[in-house]
Amino acid sequence: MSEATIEVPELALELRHISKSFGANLALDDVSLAVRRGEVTALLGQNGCGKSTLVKVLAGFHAPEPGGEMLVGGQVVDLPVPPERSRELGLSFVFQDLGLAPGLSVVENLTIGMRTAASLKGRRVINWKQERRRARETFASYHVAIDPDAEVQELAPVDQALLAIIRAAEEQRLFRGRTASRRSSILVLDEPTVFLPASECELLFSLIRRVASTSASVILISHDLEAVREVADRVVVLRDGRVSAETDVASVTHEELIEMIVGRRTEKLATAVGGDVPRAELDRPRPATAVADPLRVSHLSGGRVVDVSFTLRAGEVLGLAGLLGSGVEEFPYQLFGSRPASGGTIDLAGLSVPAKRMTPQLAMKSRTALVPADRARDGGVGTLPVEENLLLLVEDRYFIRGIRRRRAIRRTATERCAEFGIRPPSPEALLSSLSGGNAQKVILAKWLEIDPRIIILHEPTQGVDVGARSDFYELVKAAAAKGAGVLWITTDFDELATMCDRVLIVGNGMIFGELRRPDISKNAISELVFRASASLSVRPGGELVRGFQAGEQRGEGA
Amino acid sequence: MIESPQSPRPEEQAAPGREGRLAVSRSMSRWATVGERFALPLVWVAVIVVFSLIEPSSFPTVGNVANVFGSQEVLFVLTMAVLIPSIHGDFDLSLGSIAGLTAMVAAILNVNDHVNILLACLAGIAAAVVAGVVNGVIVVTFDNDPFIVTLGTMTAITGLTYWISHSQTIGVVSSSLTNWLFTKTVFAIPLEFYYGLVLLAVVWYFFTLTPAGQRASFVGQSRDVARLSGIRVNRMRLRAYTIGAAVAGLAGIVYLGTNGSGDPTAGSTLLLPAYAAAFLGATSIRPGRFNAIGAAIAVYFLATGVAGLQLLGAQDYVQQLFYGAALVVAIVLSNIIRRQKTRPVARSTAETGPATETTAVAD
Repeated sequence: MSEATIEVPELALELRHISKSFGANLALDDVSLAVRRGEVTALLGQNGCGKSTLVKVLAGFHAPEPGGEMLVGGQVVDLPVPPERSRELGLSFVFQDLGLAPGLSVVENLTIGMRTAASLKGRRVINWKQERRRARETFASYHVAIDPDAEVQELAPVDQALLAIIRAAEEQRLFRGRTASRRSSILVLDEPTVFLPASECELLFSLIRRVASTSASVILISHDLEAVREVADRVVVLRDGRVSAETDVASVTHEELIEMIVGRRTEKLATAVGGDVPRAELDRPRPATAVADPLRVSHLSGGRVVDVSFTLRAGEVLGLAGLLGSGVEEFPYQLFGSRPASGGTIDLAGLSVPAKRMTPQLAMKSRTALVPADRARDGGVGTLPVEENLLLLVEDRYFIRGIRRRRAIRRTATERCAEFGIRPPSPEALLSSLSGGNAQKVILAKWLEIDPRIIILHEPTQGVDVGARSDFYELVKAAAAKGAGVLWITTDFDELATMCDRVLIVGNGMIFGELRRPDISKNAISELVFRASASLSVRPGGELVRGFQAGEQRGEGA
Repeated sequence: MIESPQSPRPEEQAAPGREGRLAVSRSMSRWATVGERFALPLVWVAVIVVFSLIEPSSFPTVGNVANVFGSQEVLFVLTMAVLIPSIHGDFDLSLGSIAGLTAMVAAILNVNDHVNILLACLAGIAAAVVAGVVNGVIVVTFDNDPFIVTLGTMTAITGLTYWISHSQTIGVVSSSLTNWLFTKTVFAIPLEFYYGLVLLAVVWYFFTLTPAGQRASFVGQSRDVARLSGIRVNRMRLRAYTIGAAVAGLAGIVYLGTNGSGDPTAGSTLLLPAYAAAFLGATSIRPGRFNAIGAAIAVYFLATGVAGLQLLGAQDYVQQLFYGAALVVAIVLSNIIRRQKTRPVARSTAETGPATETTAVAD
C-alpha cells in the first residue's frame, strides 16, 4: 500500500464544534477546521486567542466540552485523546522545548523513539555503527547535515529544531509502516521559529515543506507572519477563541492577515506611527521642576536586543510590547543586570552604568525592583515561609542589637498580608502553598519594601486569577502614583492597554514605534507588534509604514 | 510602604462559617506542626525510657550519660561543619577527611617538630581553611558539581594525610590539649561537650538570628531567587565552603584532644554519621530545613541509640547499622514532610499564554 496511490487530498484531520472553557472564560468557542493531507496549515492568532488551548486539546491535555468532534483520517476519535493514543492516530508534537536530551548524542536522541516505535517485539542488541549510518541516511533524505555523533547541546539551535522535527516525522513514518495504517501523519509544530535567528529559519522552512511533500500534514502554530507566508499552504486564524478566517495563504496579503488576526483595522494607527508621532515631544527636555527620570536606556544591545534606547519617567507606567522571541523578554534581566548585555548604557536615576557591568546589586542600589516571569523559579522560594520571602530584602532593618527580631518580622508580615490582601493571611505559611495570585502579591510586596524608584514587571499576571489580578493592578498603580516608574513587559496586550501610559513596540530586538494615550488599545498594540515582526527591513524608530509595504510586496511576489 | 489601596476587600468579608472552619483547620495544622517539630526529641525521650526500662542497672547511670554526652564531640563538631554548606544548598563530602588532615598536621607539628600545641592546632586549622578554599573555588568559581568535586578532594585529602603521616598513628600530643578538651570534666562530662554547646549556640545564632544567616537560607533554597534579590550568591557559597572546612578543622582538633594522637584513618569514618545527623536534624525543630538544634539533638539521639544497643550486647557493627538506617529514614521522612508542606492549597487554573522561554540568570 504505497501512499502515492492515494490521489485525492483527503482530510487528514478535522475538528468540529470544539469548545473549551475555563470557568467563565471561553477559550475555544465552537472551533471547526480541517487539515488536508500533504499541506502545511498555519494556525495564527495573537496571544490568548486560543491557539495553545487548541494544541492542548489535540495533544489530549485538555478535554473539550461535550459536543465537539475530532476526525482523524475520516474516522471519529474519542475525546480527549489519551496521549499514548496520539501517536497511533498519527499525531506527533514538537513543542518549543523540543523534548531532546541535551547531554546525549544526536543518534541516541533520534533512535530512542524510533526504537520503541519500530521494534516493540524485537529486542536485539543495538548496532551503533548501523544506527549511525541509518541516521546519516535519514538526515540526507531530508537534505539536512547533522553529525550523528554530536551531542545535542553542542548543536546550533536550528539544528536542534531540525532534529526534533525529523525525529517526529520519522517516528510517524515507521509507525505507519508497521501498522500499515492508511492514516496520514500529522505533525504539530508549536512555535518552532521563535528563538531562531531569521537567517536560520529558512532551513527549518525547507524541512517543513519536505515533510509535507511526503504527504504528511503539518500544523504550524506561529506568531511569525513571515514564516507562515514562507511555508504554509493554508492559514487558519483564531481570534478570541473562534476561527476568524480560514483561507489559502497565497490569496491574502500581509495587511489582510494582520487584519484577520487583530480584527478591525485601526485607521488611526497608520498615522500615529507613520511619522505623525511628534518625536520632538519625546525628546523635549522635561521641566526643571520634574523629578529626574528613573531610567534611561541608551543603545542597549545583547542577545536578541539591538541598539535600544528609551526613557522611563517617574510615575509613568511604560509598556514594552513584543511577540515571543522579539527580544522583549530579555530587557527585564538585562536592565536588572542578571543577564549581561553586550553594549549600551543604563542610567538609573543618575547612576550611569555600562550595560555590560550592570549587576543586581547596582540595580538595587538605585532601588530597582524586578518581578520576574518565572515566579516559581526566580520570584520567590516556595519552600520558605511567606514572611521570609516578604522581608528578605529588608532583613537588616529587623536586626536590632545583634538579634533578628522575629516577632517584629511576624508583625510586619501580618500587616502586609492584610494590606495586600494575601490569602491565607498567615505569614508562616510556605510560599508554595499559596495560589499563583497570592504568591505574586507576596513577590510584589517584597519589592515594594525597598520603596522602589523603578519597578520592572515581566509577565506579572501569568497564572494569576482574575481577582488577584485586579488587586495587583491597584497595587502597581498606587506605587506609580507615589512616583515610581513602572516598566511593564508582557505579551498580554490587553493588560498593557489597561495599564500603560505609553507602550513601546518591540520587534526583532528593536523599538519600532510608540503608542500613547488615547491611541493605546489591545488591537492597536497587536497590529503594530505583528507589523514590527513582519517588517525586517525597517529601521528602528520610524518609517514603519514604508518598511511594512516592502514586506507586503515581497509577500505578494511569492 | 504602601497604603492599602482600598478598604475591605470582598474576600475579607467571608462568611463566619468559613472563618470558623478555617480556624479549626488552622489549629489542627498547628498541632500537626508542633508534633512534627518535636517528633525527634520525643523519639529520643522514648528511646531513653525504653532502654532505662530494659537495662535499669546500666543505662540510666551517670557513667552512661557521661559516655553518651562525652563521646560524641568529634561527630558533634563535624555535624556543625556539615550544616554550613548544607544550609547554603551545597554539599561537601571532604569535611571528614579535612578533620583528619587537621588532626594529623597538628599532631605531626607537635609530636615530631615540637611546635607549641596551640600553634600546631592553628596550623592544622589553616590547612583545613586552604582545603575549604580549594573546594569552594573549584565548585563555585569554576561551577562544578559539588558532589563529584568533593568526592575527589575527599579522596585526595585522605591520601595526603596518609602521605604526611607515612600511614602511621602519630602521638602522643601535649597533654595540655587533652586536659583542656577531654580530661577535665564538669558534672562528669568532659569540657569538650561544653565547647560543642558554644559552637552550637554560634551556628544557631548566625543562621536564625542574623540577616546574613537568613540570606544563606535563600541561597540554599533557590540560587536564582537569591541572585535576583541582589544577594552575592557565589561569594556566600565560597564562604560557606571555607568556614565549613574551618569548623571541620575544629572537629579534627577535638579528635586529637580526645584520642591524644592523629590517626590517618580517622577522617573517612566520620563523614557519614555527620551527614546522618544533619539530615535527621532537618526533620525536626525547623522541619524541612537544615538546622543546628535539630542536628544537635540528632547527634545525641543516635549516640543514645547506639549506647543502648551496645548495652544490650550488640557489637561494633551496630553503630554503622544504626547510623546508616537513620540516614535513610531521615531522608524519607524529610521528603514526606516537604511534599506535604509544599502542597498548594488552591492553584490557579487560569489559562496562560505560551510559556516564556527565558532564563533570568546568566550562569
